[in-house]
Amino acid sequence: MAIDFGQQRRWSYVDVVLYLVGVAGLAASITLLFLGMRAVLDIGGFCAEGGPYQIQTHCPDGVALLMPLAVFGGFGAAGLMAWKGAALGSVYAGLVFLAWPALFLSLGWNFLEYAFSPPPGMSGIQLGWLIPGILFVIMGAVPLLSALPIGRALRRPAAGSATARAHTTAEQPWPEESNLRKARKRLLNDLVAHAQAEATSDARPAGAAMPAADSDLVSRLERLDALHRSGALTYDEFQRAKAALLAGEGG
Amino acid sequence: MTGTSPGTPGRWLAVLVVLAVIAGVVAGLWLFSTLT
Repeated sequence: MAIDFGQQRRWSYVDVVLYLVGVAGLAASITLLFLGMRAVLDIGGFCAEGGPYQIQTHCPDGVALLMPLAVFGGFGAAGLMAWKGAALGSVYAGLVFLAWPALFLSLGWNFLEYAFSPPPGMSGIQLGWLIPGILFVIMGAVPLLSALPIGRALRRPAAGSATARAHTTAEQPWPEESNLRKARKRLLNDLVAHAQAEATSDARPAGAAMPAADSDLVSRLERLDALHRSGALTYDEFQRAKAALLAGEGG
Repeated sequence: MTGTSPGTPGRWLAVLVVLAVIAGVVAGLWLFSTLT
């Protein structure tokens, strides 16, 4: 059975409690990652713990335990949020996606802060932290902006404008392209109908498959095109003749 | 979201969600200061 987001479903207070546990757990996990990262950046940005190795830089106390705990705890909490949120309504299930910008913006902030004011022993702007900082902020901010009402407004044309009406009435997202396709299809249909009419012209009156004027215009255009292709007409002559033909048709 | 739709939790849940986020952040701060 597909999960039916947006539909009103039965829910109990157990769902609410577990959902809130998921929300709090996810917030706690992101907080732990934020603080753990700062602790590691304070000692130069890298550390190690465990294994039969000679370790140059040990991790701050507890960080080696808290970081994986926060990562896996965060995944579990997010899963709980999405699972129970689906029973409470699509809005509540969707809130779990805010964890992405929260995570990347907070960690990106750490990178940027330490890039510009590195810990003692390091001087100058730290490019190795500045670049990931910028990347993290972009990764966090772009989905957040597109989710916010201001982002949606930027992506959609103003209500009431011609483009907005076209967006709401046409199924195609690009009405101009859609019209172009329709026109091309119509022209192709006309050409095909004309060819069929010519093929059967012995059996039926000329132009019976389509309006006589259209048929005549198409056949003249075709002949012009053939003359142009054969080299009998230059491009300019072809264009002038075509314009005259179309103008005559329109008038 | 008016909170009056039958079958949908009301606005009180949105308040609880905000409180849960604050509680989670405080819990994270406490856990970090305790274990490190």
